[in-house]
Amino acid sequence: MLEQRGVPTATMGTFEFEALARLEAKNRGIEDLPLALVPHPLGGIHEDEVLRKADLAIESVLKALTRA
Amino acid sequence: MSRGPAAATFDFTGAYEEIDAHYQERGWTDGLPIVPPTEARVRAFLAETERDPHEIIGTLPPRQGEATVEKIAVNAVMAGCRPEYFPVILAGIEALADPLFNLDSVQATTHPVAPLLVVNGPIAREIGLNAGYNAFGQGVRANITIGRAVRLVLMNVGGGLPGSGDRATQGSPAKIAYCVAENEADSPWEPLHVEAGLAPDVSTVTAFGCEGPHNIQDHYSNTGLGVLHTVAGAMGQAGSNNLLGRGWPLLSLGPEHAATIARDGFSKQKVKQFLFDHARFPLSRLGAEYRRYQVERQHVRDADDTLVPIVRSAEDISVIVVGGAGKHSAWQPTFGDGTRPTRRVIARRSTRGSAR
Repeated sequence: MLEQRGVPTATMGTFEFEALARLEAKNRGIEDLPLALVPHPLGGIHEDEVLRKADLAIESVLKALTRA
Repeated sequence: MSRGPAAATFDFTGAYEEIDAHYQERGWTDGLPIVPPTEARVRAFLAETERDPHEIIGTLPPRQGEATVEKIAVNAVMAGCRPEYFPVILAGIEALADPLFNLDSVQATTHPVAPLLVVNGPIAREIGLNAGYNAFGQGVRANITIGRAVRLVLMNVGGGLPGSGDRATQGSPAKIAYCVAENEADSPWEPLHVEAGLAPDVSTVTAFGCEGPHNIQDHYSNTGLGVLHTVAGAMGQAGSNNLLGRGWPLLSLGPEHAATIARDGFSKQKVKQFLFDHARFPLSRLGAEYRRYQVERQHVRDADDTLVPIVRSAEDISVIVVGGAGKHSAWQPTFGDGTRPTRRVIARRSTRGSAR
């Protein structure tokens, strides 16, 4: 896994699946895997909604990729 | 061999109702009552294999639970299996733990994928697995309880619990129990495991990550070509994950359809080639966004006469023969390219059975 090799990652998903993502990360020994989450859903939405969600996520993506 | 810890044991003094309630309250079941996995019952299952009870057969996601031989036996008892089914279940869990099967995604996905175990070889007859009338349905203990045992292992060891580790949007009754034997006696072709290069007297389990059976009725075609056109029409549908991302779908022909097709000169390979060519969906009938996905991501030609395939090549389709009399077949759409069929030889105790 990239994180374990020291490569910063930001795993994107929706809050709907946050618990599943944290469960799987924990069970694989990467409990602090940085997640960048947006309101559900990601599919079936129009472009303006995609951009709005990207705006919501950008801070957490930057934080995940640039953390010390 | 990696080894896991012994299963926990506890003492009960109450009646069956109390024991079952204990399991129900903790979510250790699929919703049905369980058979209490007493030490004596579990021992009877462990006697059916030469493997060490603490050997880890596979590490099952999303919990990364260690499926030891003993824990699998416990779940097989709970499911209502007979001890002689146990080698099939062990081989089945091993097949599901194969990385190519991609149990991570199969367990957690929103798709209604279920692990189907197809059993070939002499063990199917020996333990009474149904390959004939209603083989995918109710009525035979081996089919139902082997399928249920696999599901209980995926839940209790793997953590595939609805709403947490299993996020199937709607799920499927196939997720309760899904195990069948190929009807080798009534097949005009070589069985699945022989096609893969194994001897007919070897017993195998092949796992498919698929939907429940999607019926294909054709009472009107008198030729193999006619039947195959109907089959291709059913398989080339818009909603499957195979149209989305290709993959390795399964065709389960009824013996009468298979006989008609074979009589007219089709080998299994020719059937697969025909379906690769004809089981397609017209690009022009897809909506704009899905059409763009097929063009940009699956690289199909952006033209109104393009027919979108459900597999990348003919050999990616598996064909088995299942069922009794009648003009019905089925196909099992799979979890797209997110899972591949995997196979394991069923190891028999050297002191019993006729296969080895």
